[in-house]
Amino acid sequence: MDVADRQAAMTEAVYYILLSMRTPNHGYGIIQNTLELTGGRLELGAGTLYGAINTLLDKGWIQLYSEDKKSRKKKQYILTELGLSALQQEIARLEELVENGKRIMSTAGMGLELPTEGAAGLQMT
Amino acid sequence: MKKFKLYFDKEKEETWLNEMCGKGLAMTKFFLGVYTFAPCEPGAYIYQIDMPPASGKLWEWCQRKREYVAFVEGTGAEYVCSWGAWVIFRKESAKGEFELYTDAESKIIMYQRIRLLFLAVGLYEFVMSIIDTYNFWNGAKEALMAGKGLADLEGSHFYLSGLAILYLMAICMFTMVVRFTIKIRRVKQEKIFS
Repeated sequence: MDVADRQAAMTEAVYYILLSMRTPNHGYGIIQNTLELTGGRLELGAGTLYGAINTLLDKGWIQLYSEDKKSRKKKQYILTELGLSALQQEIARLEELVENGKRIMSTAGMGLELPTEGAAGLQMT
Repeated sequence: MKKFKLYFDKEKEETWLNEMCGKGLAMTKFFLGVYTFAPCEPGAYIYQIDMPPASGKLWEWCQRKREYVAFVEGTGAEYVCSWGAWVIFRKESAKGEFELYTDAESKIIMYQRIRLLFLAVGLYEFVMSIIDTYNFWNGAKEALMAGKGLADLEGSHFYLSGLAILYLMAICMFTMVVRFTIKIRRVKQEKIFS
């Protein structure tokens, strides 16, 4: 992968917002979808969501899908090609994270090694 | 019921509004430090004070603020009132948690917005105080040099107390800049471990 292609890790909020925009979705729908996906663990705040949507629009990762002029509240957004590939890259990165974690945790055994006697005195330095 | 209070720290103000609501008084209006309350079921609402993003062209700020308010209302909250750059929302506590900024990144950006406003207002007040001090000195120096006291100068007490308030406001604003810098640093430190 090119250095230019490498993207920074997404925040949890951005990750779930993008996932929620796989199909056209609006603000409240994104919050509900994220709540459902995380079993109620992650409730996106409206301020956090609004800021993220604007950043993602600027980046070209999402676009406006439809706007209901009557209610004003119902702007729907959808993922762009760029957003889709960013999401796929992030999923690959997360997979690497989890695989490494699982592999190392399963081979190293459950117990933790105690520091050797000589090292114990040096720990605080 | 009305209450007069001056808050510079929105988090302390939020805590106070939520305490008042816990006592059965729901805030409905704000004007120049005067908060208006209406009776409510104790703890019926959760209040949040916000400073929406104001990027883009100056004449579009109002439009963007309306858009933001509509967006937040669309998520089940209620718009209470607005004062300058500030907006107050509330949500019925029966509907669950209410927090506008739920991660460190967005909280930092919001704090930075608030800090920038305090800095701008503080600098403006500071420059005005310097200019006013200079003007006062220019007008009064001959009389003062001639050995007259401040009391002999007509209107000087009025002018000087105005000036003192202006300096005090500038100091308040700069104190808030420091306080929000500390808040930002605290959130950044928490972020490393989350």
